[in-house]
Amino acid sequence: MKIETIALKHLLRSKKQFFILFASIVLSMTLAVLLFVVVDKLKTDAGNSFDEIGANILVVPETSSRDLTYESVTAHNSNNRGVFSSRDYISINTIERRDNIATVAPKILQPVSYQNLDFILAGIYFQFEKEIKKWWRIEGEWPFRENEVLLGYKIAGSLNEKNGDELLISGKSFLVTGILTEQGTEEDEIVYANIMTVQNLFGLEDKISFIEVAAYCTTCPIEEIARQISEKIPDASVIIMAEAVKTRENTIDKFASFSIVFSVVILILGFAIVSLMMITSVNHRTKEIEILRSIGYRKAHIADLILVEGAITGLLGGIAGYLIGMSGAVQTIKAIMPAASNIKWDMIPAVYAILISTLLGVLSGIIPAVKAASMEPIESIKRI
Amino acid sequence: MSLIKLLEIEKNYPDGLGEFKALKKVSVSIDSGEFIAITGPSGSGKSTLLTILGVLNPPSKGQIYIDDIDVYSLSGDRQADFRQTYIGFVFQDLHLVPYLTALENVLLPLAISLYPGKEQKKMAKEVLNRVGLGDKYHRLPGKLSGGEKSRVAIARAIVNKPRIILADEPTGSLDSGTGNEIMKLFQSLNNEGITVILVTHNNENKKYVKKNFLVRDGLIEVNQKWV
Ligand SMILES: Nc1ncnc2c1ncn2[C@@H]1O[C@H](COP(=O)(O)OP(=O)(O)OP(=O)(O)O)[C@@H](O)[C@H]1O
Ligand SMILES: [Mg+2]
Repeated sequence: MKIETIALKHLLRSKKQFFILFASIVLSMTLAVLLFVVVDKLKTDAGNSFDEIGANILVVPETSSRDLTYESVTAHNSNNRGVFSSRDYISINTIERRDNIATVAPKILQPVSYQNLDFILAGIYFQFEKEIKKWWRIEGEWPFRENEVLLGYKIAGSLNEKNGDELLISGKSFLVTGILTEQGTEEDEIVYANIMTVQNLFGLEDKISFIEVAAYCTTCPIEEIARQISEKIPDASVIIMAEAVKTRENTIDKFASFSIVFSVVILILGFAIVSLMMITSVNHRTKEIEILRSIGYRKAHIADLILVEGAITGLLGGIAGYLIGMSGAVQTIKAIMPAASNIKWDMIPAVYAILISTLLGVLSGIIPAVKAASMEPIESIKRI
Repeated sequence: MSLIKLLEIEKNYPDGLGEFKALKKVSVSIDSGEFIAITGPSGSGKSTLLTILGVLNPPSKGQIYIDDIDVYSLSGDRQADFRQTYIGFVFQDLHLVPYLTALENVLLPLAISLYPGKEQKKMAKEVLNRVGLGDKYHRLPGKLSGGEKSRVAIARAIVNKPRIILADEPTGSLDSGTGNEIMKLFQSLNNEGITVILVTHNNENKKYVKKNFLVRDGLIEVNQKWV
């Protein structure tokens, strides 16, 4: 027989007491796991949905002057200004971290004039732009045909154009299908057309002025994605849109600290409750402990006995708490986020949960163990 | 050659504002292999003497040597080790651990020893057989009779092969038949050379012991015969 055996026998044969201890650990572990997993899921999904809001990486030519600018990219007034080629744009989708890339939206910028007004004609892929500019509201419809255009709010006013009106640029007639609501940015001054139409019209086949990239970055540092893009397109500056990153990180941080603080509070409560119950248990076992001391058990042996009980309870409670907490989290996520993907049952979080729970059991046992170890053997003999 | 030597042992217990002198300058020596009954009126200091002998209750003054070791000068851990190797206690029935079976109670002193598990079990079963409980290894104390509990307590006291057995009124709550059985067990242990010291009120136990310590008013009178 070993001290561990005695601890186990005590737990098994004083079922009521063990059950209460076990239940408290299970309860606090369940709550902690549930909260942590649900918040972690919320956090990931919030991170992802933020990524979907817009581009967080800008790929621009290395040099630029200050003519007409759009998102700090200059539209040069010469004929071979498209610095990138389609190949560059396709190569972004071949970086190692390509799974983190949501959308790649290349653009060609061309200064044009119409009715004595100078403005930029931006050739874009409307389907990609839609992904990247989720906040854009349009009066009318998104263009999809090669001769259809979308007008910025101000330029529509200056040109006095409405939906259904025609627009003649560089000898080609375009149909206005939509007008962008006021953005308060350069976007208000721009006319958007199909990228291939613009490339063909100005002899810029295969040329691209700059590229906006939206990357999911909850699982990787955005810096790494940016670095991998620069490796693929050496003559580009890859700009991380710090503002976007910061906001997203703030959101995540808030969620993360929320879940950690609450999980820790729950675990501390669990610790306090289990400690108190174990102290009560030790007080009821005074006689037994004194007998053990009088037959030669050292203080450390007595402390071991109590700590092992804490560890066993913590271990078993951790396993049960993890299983219940995870099942609860799965149900909760289903209820509050029906569209979300399923929660994964990974080994590593399970091992962590069980380790933390075992540690919780041992820590809860420390005060009771010290108390038990400090009992003097004489007390048991006094009343013989 | 004396196994135990008490030199001017005094024991004072706090008593209200002052002190109560439970033992007053007791000097006595006990040889290896003796079988001693400690008797005396209630409150005279018998249990106090026994617990001092058992390295459980430090005296207020004086020294006690067991096997030439000044036991109370040892550290707490070493005192525990000393109890484990030298001394077997027999408590009254309530002193079995309630959630452990007879066998497990007897295994308790071995759980902190270096004996491997199998050897431990063999030793525990041997002593249980010896005290006549060969068929009750797996009974919990709650399901044992008073006499059976005493036997388990004795088995637990001797499983470590101690040199000294201390017992405080081991037959106090038993009927005379069972009490005699228990005394015979002590006698046979004593015949093997173990020093047995027990507190008793029971005159029937006279015939088993070799020597009598009469404790009266905190002092000891050593008698070759029961008085
Ligand atoms: N821990 C203690 N604190 C204070 N007084 C004590 C303590 N233990 C014993 N006493 C007192 O010391 C005296 C001797 O006690 P002890 O238990 O040794 O007597 P005893 O001879 O065993 O009596 P009994 O036959 O009733 O068991 C008693 O007066 C008792 O009240
Ligand atoms: Mg007494």
